[in-house]
Amino acid sequence: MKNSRGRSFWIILPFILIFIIANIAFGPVYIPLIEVFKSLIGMKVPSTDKTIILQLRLPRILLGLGVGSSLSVTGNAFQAMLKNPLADPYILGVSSGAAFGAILANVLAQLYYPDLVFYMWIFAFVFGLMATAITYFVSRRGGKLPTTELILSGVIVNLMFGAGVTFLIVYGWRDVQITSFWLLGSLSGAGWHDVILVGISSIASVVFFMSISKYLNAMVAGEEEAAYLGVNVEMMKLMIFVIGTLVTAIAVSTSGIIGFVGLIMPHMSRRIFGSDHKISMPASAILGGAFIVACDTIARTAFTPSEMPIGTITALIGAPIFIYILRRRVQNV
Amino acid sequence: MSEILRIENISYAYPKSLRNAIDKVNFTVRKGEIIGVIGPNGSGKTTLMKSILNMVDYQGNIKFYGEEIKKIPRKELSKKLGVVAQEFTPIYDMKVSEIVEMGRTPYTNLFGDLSKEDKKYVEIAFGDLNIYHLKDRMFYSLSGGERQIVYVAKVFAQNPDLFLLDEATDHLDVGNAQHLLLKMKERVKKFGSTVIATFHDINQASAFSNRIIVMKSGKVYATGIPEIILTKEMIKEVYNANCEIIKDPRNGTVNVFMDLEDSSDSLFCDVLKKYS
Repeated sequence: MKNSRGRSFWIILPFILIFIIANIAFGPVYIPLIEVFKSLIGMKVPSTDKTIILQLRLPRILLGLGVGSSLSVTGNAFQAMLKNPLADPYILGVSSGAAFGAILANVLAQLYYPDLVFYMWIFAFVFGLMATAITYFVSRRGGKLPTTELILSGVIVNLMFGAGVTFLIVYGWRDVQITSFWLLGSLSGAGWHDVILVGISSIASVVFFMSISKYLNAMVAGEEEAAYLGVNVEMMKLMIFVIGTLVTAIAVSTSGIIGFVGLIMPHMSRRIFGSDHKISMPASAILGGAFIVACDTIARTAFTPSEMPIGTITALIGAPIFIYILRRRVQNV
Repeated sequence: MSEILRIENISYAYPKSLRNAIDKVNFTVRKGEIIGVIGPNGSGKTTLMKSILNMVDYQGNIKFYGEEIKKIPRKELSKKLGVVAQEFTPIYDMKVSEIVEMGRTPYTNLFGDLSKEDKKYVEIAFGDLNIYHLKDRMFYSLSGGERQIVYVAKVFAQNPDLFLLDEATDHLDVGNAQHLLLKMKERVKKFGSTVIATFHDINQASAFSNRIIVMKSGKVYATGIPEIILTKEMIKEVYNANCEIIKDPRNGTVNVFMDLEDSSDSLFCDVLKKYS
């Protein structure tokens, strides 16, 4: 399924990467772009600039890139698998479940087993899977996932785990700032260990989803059609659910719940580069990453000295696009 | 003609259903045959198709080229068996060429790259269905009839030996239905393919098929050539409908006319009888 729109992705890719790197320049202290590039290629720059770039902003931007691409490719795969353009880790409640798991690990670590904090992502994964399963089985009607049921189930699961998160924070931590971090997302406090964890999982997920692109292409016409083309649908669904939830859980355990990325970026990439998943997967990964990095730059610079949670910015941009897609979907049904 | 499909005593009941959707169904299909399956709603036509596709856990045996269909890996099955359902509704709009190329999914490598042979079969599909002009169009910009022909092209590209048409003409007007069925007949002539097609429209089944299988309450009620099988009595018995049957004087094809009068000796039926 090669086409000129697909090829154009590889031409645009370097420009998107330059845009992502350029975000390092912005923050409470502006560092000229030339200094940023010099520092990244190992040339001599003032030591304060070097510390800000390499210890504070670069890990934050790389984490944003990893989190954005993880959520975006997962959204893209969920949309194809569930044959529903509104499916994404946030809407389905996976992110809320994962956030609940991560906080539970933190609370248990604080109260009983301090080492549990290193296994936060495993808790996030288990509760993320639980959330996905609940949404899936509650909304399934006669082998299909109608849009209304899917959204309502996602809302219920989000409310349920949101209440769980609040409960844990009120009785476990009693810290309102942490509530804001988990429920609205933040890349502040990004360290290199987070970057490595999210980096590995996001790269692995892009490679995995690209390698099943022909099956995802077959699934966009429904499970039966995919089966007619030789796809082992149940095995494929299981793999997508587990990998997608794992990748989301790792992203959420480092940055909290960041909504709408997994919904809007796959749409944008398909609109620009076509619907073949072999291209739309890497494209949505890089666009999702760029989107999060740009939103994070707004979050940490537009409201100085305070910092806006990144989920607020993504929701402000994402909600109108969600309404647009929903309305178009309803008209088409 | 060699036998390619043997259905032996198959039954299936949907979960929570008290009766079998198909009940001890038996028949064989020989290579090159065009078989029309008819029957009222709920008679088991679609369940029969799903059984042949190994999509329901039936009891009994279905042998495809002598091998039990449950034991054939899905990917291998999809190289020999293609399905055209009522409509093809991808979630995203796609280019027609992308949809036809999708038919090669069972053959391509992990990333879906088309080999020379894949491209050859895609070209054959475009050529046989005469849709080169639609190649770069977006699927949802096409008319309903064009979309169904593109869907058929996807299945042609899949290059199966056996085609299953599951009420494939149901949403089409008479012109588009005729076009689709003619193209299927051409395919059978050119490649020696075999077709099993379910129909609601008895006249389409009659005109298209070499052999008709009539289903009632999950069982095979009758089977044979359309001219013998399609009788007024059979339709009354199976569909509980009053009809008149007339033969096309040009080729002997049987046509069924629905009777909307109260009495069978009405003026309308008299006129039909005169020409039958």
